[in-house]
Amino acid sequence: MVAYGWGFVFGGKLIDGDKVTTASPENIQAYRWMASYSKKLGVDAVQRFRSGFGSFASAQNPFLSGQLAMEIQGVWMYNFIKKFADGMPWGAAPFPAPAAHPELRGAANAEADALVIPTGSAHPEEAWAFIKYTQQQEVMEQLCLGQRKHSPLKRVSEEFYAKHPNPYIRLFAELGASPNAWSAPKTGVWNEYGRELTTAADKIGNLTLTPEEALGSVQERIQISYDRDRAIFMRRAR
Amino acid sequence: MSPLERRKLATGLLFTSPWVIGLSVFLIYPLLAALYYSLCDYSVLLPPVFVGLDNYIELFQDKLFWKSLWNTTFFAVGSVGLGVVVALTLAILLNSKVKGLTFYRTVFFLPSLMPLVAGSILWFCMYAGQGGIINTLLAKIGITGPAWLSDPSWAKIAIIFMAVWGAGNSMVIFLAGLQDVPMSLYEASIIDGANWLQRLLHVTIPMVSPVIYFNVVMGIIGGFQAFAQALIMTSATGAPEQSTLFYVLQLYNVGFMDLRMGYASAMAWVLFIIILGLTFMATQLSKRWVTYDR
Repeated sequence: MVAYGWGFVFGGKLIDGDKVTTASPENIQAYRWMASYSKKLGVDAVQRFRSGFGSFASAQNPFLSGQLAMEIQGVWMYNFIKKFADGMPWGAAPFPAPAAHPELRGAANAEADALVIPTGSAHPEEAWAFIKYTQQQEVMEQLCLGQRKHSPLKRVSEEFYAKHPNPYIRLFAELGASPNAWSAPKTGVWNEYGRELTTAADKIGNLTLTPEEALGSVQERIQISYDRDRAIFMRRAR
Repeated sequence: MSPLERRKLATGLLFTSPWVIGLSVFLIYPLLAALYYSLCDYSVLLPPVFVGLDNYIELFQDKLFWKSLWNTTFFAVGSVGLGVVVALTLAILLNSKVKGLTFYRTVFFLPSLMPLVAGSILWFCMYAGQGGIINTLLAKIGITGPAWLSDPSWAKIAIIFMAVWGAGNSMVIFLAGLQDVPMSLYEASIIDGANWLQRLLHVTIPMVSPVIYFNVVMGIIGGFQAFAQALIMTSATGAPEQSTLFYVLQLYNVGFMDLRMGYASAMAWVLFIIILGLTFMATQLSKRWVTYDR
């Protein structure tokens, strides 16, 4: 999974109000758990293993080529299995919660594509009519069947589940509706934050830095960017 | 101005216009626009807001600016240095009279025709820590190869090796330079009793020094703009541990990922000045060691 997801599984947050909370105890615990594998298996062995991983949308994807037995993925994975490793036996299950925190069960990344009408759009009325059209149950189910994902709407027909080719589609729908589902923070600095977390995960995984040091330095850097981004946003809003 | 002169002027302007228009639209305007945007907060989606030197001040305090500059300098020095030595050596070898010369010349030139993206994907596979062809061959002679692209201390070096693989272009330029060295100089030095090494150091290298200078300058300009290799082989974060975060890669991240086009423009102008400075320095130094025989 992407480097930023693990903190959520342990109950951590990346941004809380106007504070960047990368180095929160929950996040540190998550990254300590990641580092435990480098300690157990050896940094060199982990690096060597990872260095052969091909890119995601290819037959060299480590999960599809059989190098990885397990990974956190989403409903989209069905399409990639079908395309690059059709016939591969596979199964899906929710990620377990830490033993001490059973209330964190059902943590999952829930992201959606948003339909928006930009400021200054020439046809806002028509755009709104289109958005309304797409949000009808029947239309949404047709779209989601085509894209092989679950419907984001509350009401879903039994026919949709019966027709869906992904045998685990109900599980993904349940996880999407879980109270512990999370999504990436909606901020202009998110791309930078994501890159910094990937680098921090590298440093922690290579045992170059401790989780406290690595996440502390990410928090410091992103807090500055976050403050700047918010200031720019306020100025533009005026 | 007489009518004839006026007509000649019009003809002249007409003939130069493709170049003049091209230069203004595709070079001078973007350059000046970038200079203006570098003084603005500009997200592309909204009109730019003038912020003075803020972007430049932030840039010089940004540790990723310095990190990416260091990575790029390391790459440029490594790839230019090694590239010139390898290309010149190959050119000297391929300048001798052996059987199948054109075949060898083609073989060594071929890699430089490979598009950078395709080459990067190929090298990515060859560098795999487990099962990659390079480590498999190294293992055959008893060497345990590193996890090339996952080990922060090897990733930059791996990308330099890949750059040297494409040295065919400079090799061909060297070859042309070598064939331009007058035979009379070699004959004279042989009469004077110079051996192979002395001829190389005192005749060949001084005579091709303008070509070395040309290749070094072109190498620096290209090296400081390294981008695609890292993006494809080690991702936009410059993994592992930002060891392959090159300057242009960071510029791309800031500009096209974070939509901070003003900051990215400031980075672009700083890079322009760095490359300009290095080229000027190379030109100044060349006065001391480059020999022009005519």
